[in-house]
Amino acid sequence: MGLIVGVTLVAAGVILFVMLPVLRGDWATLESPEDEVTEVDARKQAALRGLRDIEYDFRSGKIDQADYQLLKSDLARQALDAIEEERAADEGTPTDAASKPAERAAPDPDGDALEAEIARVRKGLAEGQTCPGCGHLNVEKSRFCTGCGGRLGAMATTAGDPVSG
Amino acid sequence: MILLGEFALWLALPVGIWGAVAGFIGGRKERGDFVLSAEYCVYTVFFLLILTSVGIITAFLTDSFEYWYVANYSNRELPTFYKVSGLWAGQRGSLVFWALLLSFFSAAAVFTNRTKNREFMPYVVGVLLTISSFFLVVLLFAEVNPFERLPFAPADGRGLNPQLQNYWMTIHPPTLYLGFTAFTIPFAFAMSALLSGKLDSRWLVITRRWILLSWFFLANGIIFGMRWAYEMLGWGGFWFWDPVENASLLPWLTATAFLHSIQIQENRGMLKVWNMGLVTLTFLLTIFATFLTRSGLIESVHTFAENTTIAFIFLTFMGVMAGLSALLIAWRYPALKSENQIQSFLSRESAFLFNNLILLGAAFSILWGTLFPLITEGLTGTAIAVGPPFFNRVNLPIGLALMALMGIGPVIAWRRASRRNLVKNFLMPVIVGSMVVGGLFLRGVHHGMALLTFGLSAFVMTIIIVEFVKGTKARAHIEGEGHFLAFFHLVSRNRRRWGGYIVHVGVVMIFTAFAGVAFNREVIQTVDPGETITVESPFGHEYALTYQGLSSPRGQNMLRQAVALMTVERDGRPVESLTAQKVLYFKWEQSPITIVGINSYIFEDLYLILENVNDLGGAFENDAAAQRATFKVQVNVLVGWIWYGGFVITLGGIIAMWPSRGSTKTASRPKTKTGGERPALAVRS
Repeated sequence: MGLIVGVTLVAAGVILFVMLPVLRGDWATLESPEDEVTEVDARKQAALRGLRDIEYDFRSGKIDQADYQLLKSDLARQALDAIEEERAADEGTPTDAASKPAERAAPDPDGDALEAEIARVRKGLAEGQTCPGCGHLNVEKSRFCTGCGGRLGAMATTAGDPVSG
Repeated sequence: MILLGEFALWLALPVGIWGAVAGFIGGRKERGDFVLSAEYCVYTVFFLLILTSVGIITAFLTDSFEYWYVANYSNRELPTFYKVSGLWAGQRGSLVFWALLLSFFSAAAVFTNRTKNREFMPYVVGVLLTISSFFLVVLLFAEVNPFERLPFAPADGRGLNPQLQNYWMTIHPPTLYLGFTAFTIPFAFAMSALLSGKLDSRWLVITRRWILLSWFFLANGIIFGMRWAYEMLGWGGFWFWDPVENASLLPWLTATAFLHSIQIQENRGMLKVWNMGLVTLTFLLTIFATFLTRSGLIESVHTFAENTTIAFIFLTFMGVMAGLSALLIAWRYPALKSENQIQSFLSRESAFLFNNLILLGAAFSILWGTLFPLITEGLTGTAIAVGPPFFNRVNLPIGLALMALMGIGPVIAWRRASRRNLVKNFLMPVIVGSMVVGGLFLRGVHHGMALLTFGLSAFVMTIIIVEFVKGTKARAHIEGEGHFLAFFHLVSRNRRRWGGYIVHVGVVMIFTAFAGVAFNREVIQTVDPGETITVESPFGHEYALTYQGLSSPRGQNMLRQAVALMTVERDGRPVESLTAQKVLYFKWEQSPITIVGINSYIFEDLYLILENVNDLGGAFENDAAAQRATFKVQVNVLVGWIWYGGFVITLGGIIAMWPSRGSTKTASRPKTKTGGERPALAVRS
């Protein structure tokens, strides 16, 4: 008899526990928090990781200068496209800032490195290292374009320049 | 406590089924209350399976032989240590153990994702609870209930198979099972991505560590299994292509392929269908491994099962899961198209693709060899055995090709690599590899395959070392850091890549050890006390083993024990003595067990087997006249490098899995509660 009562109580307790959300109307969140990795963010991270990798690949002699330039231009454009998309999305939802949690998490060291990479790419574009003639993104302090040999001026170019290849 | 455990097992099934249904409905209808209920079910099933497991262990510890499972896998004399491991000693308990580990990982996945990746969770929970429910159905309805009672309580149990009475028994199966069950989480996320249409690479980013964790446990489980075989089975080897060994290797091979191909998807947006296929295949192979081990289909040293009816249920489940996964992939096929194409044959993408094809080739050849005896038996009534020669012949070239790719992969760049650079980067490693081959050949090593393996090992090791050096220099140059700091940051900022290279070092060490088998020495000799057996190792060490005689102590749970003592001299200097034993365990009087003696050195093991005792009965009685015995003395070359390689793999795996500070970034988001008002369910599509 005691066993039956015990079993019934345990069963009732378990059923009550798992049905509680339905009975009380407690809802689990079915959307991601705003600061979580989004699809655009994932694309940006992949492009920036790619930038980091080709930097190492180039420095350790795995790819040629020409390929390095080409790939770097390509990846930089992908990263910037993603950044632009993110910015556009942020501007479209100005109320996000208010709804974000006050307590921000510790910065990600990888994220720092990647942010620095973005800054480098932006600086490169701003300082005219992207060749206005052929669209190659040249290494810092280049005076001549390694893609076409043309002189690199101080004029800033836009991110939308076409890239050959 | 036992009754409570039994009751918890019955209660877990409806909870699991409700949770699975609630998860799917919650995802489909965007009902947060159903999803929360399903998540509570995950925690509840875990809790109930803990109660079930405690119930089983209690039955073992209290010698409750009225239960069929305890009566068949324990006896009164069995040490407590092995009574506790009774949970996974036989088919019934290990199915509970599987379900327990799965429910643990499910609860961990739900808990760690309680505030993030929410849009994936309804279907993740649905899939996880479906799989848990399947195991519960098997346990309760396939005549494998661990709480099944006998019509009477025997005075004592039948005892645990002596081969399982080894400390590796408490380590090897749980490690493998952890690997099997952990892989269910990536599978659940993949299915959730297909069901919810979130087909970008996020599911891979979310489950990356789960995949690594599963791979890590599988690798260690397999290595522990080798060690168990080496120490316990007493034939002097570590791998016999036993069907159950193969079954554990299969998901590891496909998981290894998956670990590489997901990098192509993450970096290049390619192979999305392939990756969905691989995650499904690997999951099915983990179920297949469990099925093969625990269905009684194939008899081997691991299989002590008697009920073959669950084979039907397992095969149906695997068929349904495979069919549903294929349908889902076909349904989402248009959205799974590659974003890019391979730009050049000379690229890391294509090297990874080759790696995938080779690993899958290995998996299918092993699967075929494992199933062939069953198929022939089914068709012709006679099983045609497929032995180690088939597996060795097929897998040797596959292993060598994989080694070559382990060298090529790191040096070749993503997207496109130039031939000129490849030649430049390969020059030194090829020279080092060739020098090793030449040097060994001049020193008398003329075994072709072994030379090729050693040469490739040197080639891969040189490439990895050069990679570390160049990477450190590049980092020091780019970031302006000192070399020590640059090295530290190099590894810590891209742990998966550099941890992966360390894992490669471990794998190369293990492959090198396999090649060492070609140089093993063996002497079989019958001796009387006082006589000496000598054996010379390929490294020139001379071992002299002097037989001191037999003694007959009796360890716990042992009926008889004959221990032969050998004093050992290595190059004329006395070293640690060796004992080799024949043991009869209680309840297993017909199968004497061989316990070997091993002296390990860096490059070789001295391995002693008591092959035969002239008069075993007399030896057991401590009869002074019954001392003549036959010994097999082996020098096993490089075998220790398997275990050293295992340590290196563990180190690399931990580095690759170690969470970065960024990955703990979660917003503390209070659980949404409504007082009659429902929140907006902005599920992203």
